[in-house]
Amino acid sequence: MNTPVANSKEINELLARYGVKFGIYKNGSFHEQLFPFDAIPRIIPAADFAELEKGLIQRVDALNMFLRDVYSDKKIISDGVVPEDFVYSSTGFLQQCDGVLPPKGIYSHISGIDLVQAKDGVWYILEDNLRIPSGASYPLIARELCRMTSPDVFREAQVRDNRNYIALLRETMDYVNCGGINVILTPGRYNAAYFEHSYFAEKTGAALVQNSDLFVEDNILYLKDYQNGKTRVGAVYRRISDEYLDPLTFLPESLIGIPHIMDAYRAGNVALINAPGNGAADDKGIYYFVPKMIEYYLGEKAILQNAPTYLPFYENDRKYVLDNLEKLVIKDVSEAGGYGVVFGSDMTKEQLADWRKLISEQSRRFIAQEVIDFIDLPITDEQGNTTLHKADLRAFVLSGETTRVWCSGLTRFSRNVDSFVVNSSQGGGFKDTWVLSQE
Amino acid sequence: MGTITRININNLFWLGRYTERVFITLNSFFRFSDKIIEQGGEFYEKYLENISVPNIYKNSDDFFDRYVFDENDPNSIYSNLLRALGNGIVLREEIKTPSLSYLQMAADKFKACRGTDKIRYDLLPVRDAIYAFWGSVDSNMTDFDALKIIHLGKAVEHVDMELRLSLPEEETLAGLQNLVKHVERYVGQSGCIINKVALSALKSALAAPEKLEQNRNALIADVEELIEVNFLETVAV
Repeated sequence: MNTPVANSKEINELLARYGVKFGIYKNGSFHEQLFPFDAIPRIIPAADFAELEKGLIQRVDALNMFLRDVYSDKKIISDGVVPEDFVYSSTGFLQQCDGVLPPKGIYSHISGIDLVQAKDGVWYILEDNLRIPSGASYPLIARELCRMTSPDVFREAQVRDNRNYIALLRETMDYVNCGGINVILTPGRYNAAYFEHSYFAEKTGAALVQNSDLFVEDNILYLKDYQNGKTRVGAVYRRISDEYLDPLTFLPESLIGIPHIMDAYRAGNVALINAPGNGAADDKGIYYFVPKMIEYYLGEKAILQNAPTYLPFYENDRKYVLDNLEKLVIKDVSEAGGYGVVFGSDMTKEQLADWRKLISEQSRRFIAQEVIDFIDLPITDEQGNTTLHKADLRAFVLSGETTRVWCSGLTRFSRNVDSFVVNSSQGGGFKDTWVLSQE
Repeated sequence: MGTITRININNLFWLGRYTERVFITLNSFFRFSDKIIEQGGEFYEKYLENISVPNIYKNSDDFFDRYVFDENDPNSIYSNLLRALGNGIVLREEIKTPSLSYLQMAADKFKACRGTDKIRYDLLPVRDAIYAFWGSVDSNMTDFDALKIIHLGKAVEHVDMELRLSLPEEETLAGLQNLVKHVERYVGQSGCIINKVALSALKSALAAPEKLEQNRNALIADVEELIEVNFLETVAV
């Protein structure tokens, strides 16, 4: 059969043709590179996905409830489930968003939840990305191209069509839209995920805009066109960080941003997707408390497990971490993109001692996790040889009128055989994720 | 008009200009490559003079390599193609992915041809991809006002290059007529600023075709000044 693997070269050529790239800054200059695609899909059986779906919806619903709570009544804090220090000392908690209820009460409209599957088949949540998770466009366009090169495979295999992501995204934007058009706000051509921004704009019909295209008048956000006309904007799928949204609210020294956009947002005149301040819930330290949130808000046990995690902030955990550092992975809670992650097993005696000191001194800054021996997935190289690499899965959960899980996801694999780091910025590649429609 | 942003209009205009520049210089280069079979490579100096490109090349081999393929040579055909692609990349949602893919294909194919000993043959697919690009924007773009701006850039560049390359007068006059028509019909609604003095000069040239040759340099300046888009506070990519 004419499988995607047999057509790997053709598919990668098509990805190049369609400009499927991501940007990276190296030594101070911008480089655009292709995101290596491996044609062997990750396959998730229908029953497994049904379980994942339930667990992801449960988790994202709880995270949205947590965000609503910490920015309003703060009951979870007063009830002692999450320590006050952990919320307010997080750089993701934004005082400026306190007391602001976003349109329809939704904070995380598009959630990217990173999971790994252990060798015993159990899925573990690695982290929640509730700010501006990216990556859905890659398996989306890869599927389109694989269907072009290997139609028979999709005729035979019972793979759920993942091309509904655009409809899900548009429905999510429309649901919270406060009147006006939808726009996708991009930092511009030299952002790492610019391909995705422009692709989603094209496919959803949203206008792709930059800061200078938008302005606020009487608490209403407008897009100005080239003739100085204005069109009201009802929803902004923003792909820039919170701190660069509005210089009058966040960084007064910032030269970018849209002055008064936060006023329009506070007045309920525009939806920001995702809501600013979501970092309060996807902080690596808060991750530890998500199963407790699920129990607290939903009265249910968490369906999906966290990787076993320790908070050096707590004395008992700190002792365990210091005693077992050589077998743990340490993560800096303020870092992302695979940065700030170190493995105890890679450290020399001196480095271990340095890290013990650092963790003791800055206990809130780090979390420690057991290293999960997650499954390796086969990757084919240019010569057709297959090697096994570590891979994770970013599942996309969209929250609008209901919470829905996209029946696909971004499977990322490590560049080197022995590496656990799968981030594209670290040279990793991606696979399509096939969810089977029946066993 | 829909929601064309101020930044986009500049990119639309320059997308039209750069794509047409590549197309015309490629065709012109093909003709030149054919001529040198008999006339010899040193003929390239005359070619550069015609197209107002400074002769920075060591010899004809260097010219054949760098003028065509060097992305760091701002006058090379390839660097102009990369500028067209750069403008296209920021316009994906306007011009649509299939149109952008033809520019990407043209750039990839172009790059892969460096070092070839049958340059005209190997670069043919680049020209095909540009033809396909034009067909694709006409078929796929849903905002006709945005499409008109691309065509305006194309029309400006077309006349500019025809004048510089001293192409047959009939062709140049036809291009000039097309440009004037385009400007009078569409530009008023496009948000571009028209230089009325330059427009008047171009219309006078059409009324007195016999003076085309003697006015060539002045007309090039008029074409360059005809449309003002830099008020948009952005620069071409």
